[in-house]
Amino acid sequence: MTLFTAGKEKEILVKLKSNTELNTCLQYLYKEYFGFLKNMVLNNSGTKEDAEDVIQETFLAFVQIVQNDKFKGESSLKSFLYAVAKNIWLGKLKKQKAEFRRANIWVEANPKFEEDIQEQLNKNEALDLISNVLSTLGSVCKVILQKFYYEELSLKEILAFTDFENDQVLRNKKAKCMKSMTEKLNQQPHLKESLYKALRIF
Amino acid sequence: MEGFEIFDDYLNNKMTFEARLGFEQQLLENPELKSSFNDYKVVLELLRFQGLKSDVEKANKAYQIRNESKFSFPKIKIAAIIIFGLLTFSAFWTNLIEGADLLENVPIEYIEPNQRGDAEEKPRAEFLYLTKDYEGLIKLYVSSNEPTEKLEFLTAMAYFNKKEYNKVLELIEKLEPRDKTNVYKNEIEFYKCQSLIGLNKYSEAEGMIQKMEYTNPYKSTFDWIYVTKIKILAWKESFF
Repeated sequence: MTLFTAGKEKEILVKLKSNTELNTCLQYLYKEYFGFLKNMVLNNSGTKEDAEDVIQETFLAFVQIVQNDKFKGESSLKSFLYAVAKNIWLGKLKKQKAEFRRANIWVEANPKFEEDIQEQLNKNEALDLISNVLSTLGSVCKVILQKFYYEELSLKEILAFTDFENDQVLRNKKAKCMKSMTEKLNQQPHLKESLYKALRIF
Repeated sequence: MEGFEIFDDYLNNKMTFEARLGFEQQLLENPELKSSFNDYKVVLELLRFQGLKSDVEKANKAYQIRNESKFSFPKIKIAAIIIFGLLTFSAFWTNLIEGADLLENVPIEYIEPNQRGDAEEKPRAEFLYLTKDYEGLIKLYVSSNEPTEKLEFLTAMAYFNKKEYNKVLELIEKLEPRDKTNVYKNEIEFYKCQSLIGLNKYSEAEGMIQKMEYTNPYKSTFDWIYVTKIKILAWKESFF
């Protein structure tokens, strides 16, 4: 197994895994790999806009894969990102039924990590389909839930972003917001079912 | 304890061993609880996915802006014209530009943002600020045992209006460490820069502008003319 050794990239992986300085890591990924990945899409019938979309989805999936401990360093970061972007772009092309020169896209002989990539992409696709649930939620709920569950701030810290009097009131509001979210989720049984499957929740 | 909090504790390993076993037993025996727990996990996945997606979108936007300004050919041409203009009129500018001009050129306004913290001092402090009773506001701050972030910020603004820039920087130093929760982060960066100009510390002020992120709406206040003037003043500062 070829171990992934480049100093800066190792540092980025450690930060991503521990979910610290995400913005710095994303800046690094954009600086180092945007041009390379963009060329892959442009050379395979894609437009500049396609490239931007593919690269955003690539970095999103890559961060998730690293955070889920699925990136084992079996390939270089560059090859891995290429494989993620390739999977995303091929998926999009198939959906668009557009003509494309597949031969131009480098395909490795079914390496192990392709399965992990595809699994993450399936999850993201299912999550994307149901993400309108979140957009129907009120702005206050959105702020509370995002800050608590994504930014991992405490209720005391979140209080500063809201007009609530104390953290007990905020705690109650948070519970109501979560309830509202699960209710909205249950209003879309088909999407929910496919999401359960993709996330392997039984 | 509310259902969701039990789920939080279970997923965050905050339960005792016995409580954990008990909860897992309940999940096996109670299909309704199991279903709620599964829904809850799905919602968490969705929230994390959306949060991360939004961060990647922001990073993309910032990268595209930086890239455009770096490589856009018309902008390079414009930059060349500016440099030529600067060289031609440098002597003229160097003699004319003063730091006070810079403070006058940027309108100083206190903008009341949405969803800011509440506290007992708030209405009073705001009233004093809006009626320009800066002395009264400073007194209120001095007499307050536990000044709120808002009171500290408004007091900094009062000192700014009184042109006591060292005091502004002292207060900003207190506010700055609360970077993550500080609702005045954008204003603090802006007024720190303005106060540094007021103290003729142009290099530091220029550094502050560079440090400001594009998501800070005040960043756009500093157009290229403004930044060029600061650069000239910083250059002058290094010589005299």
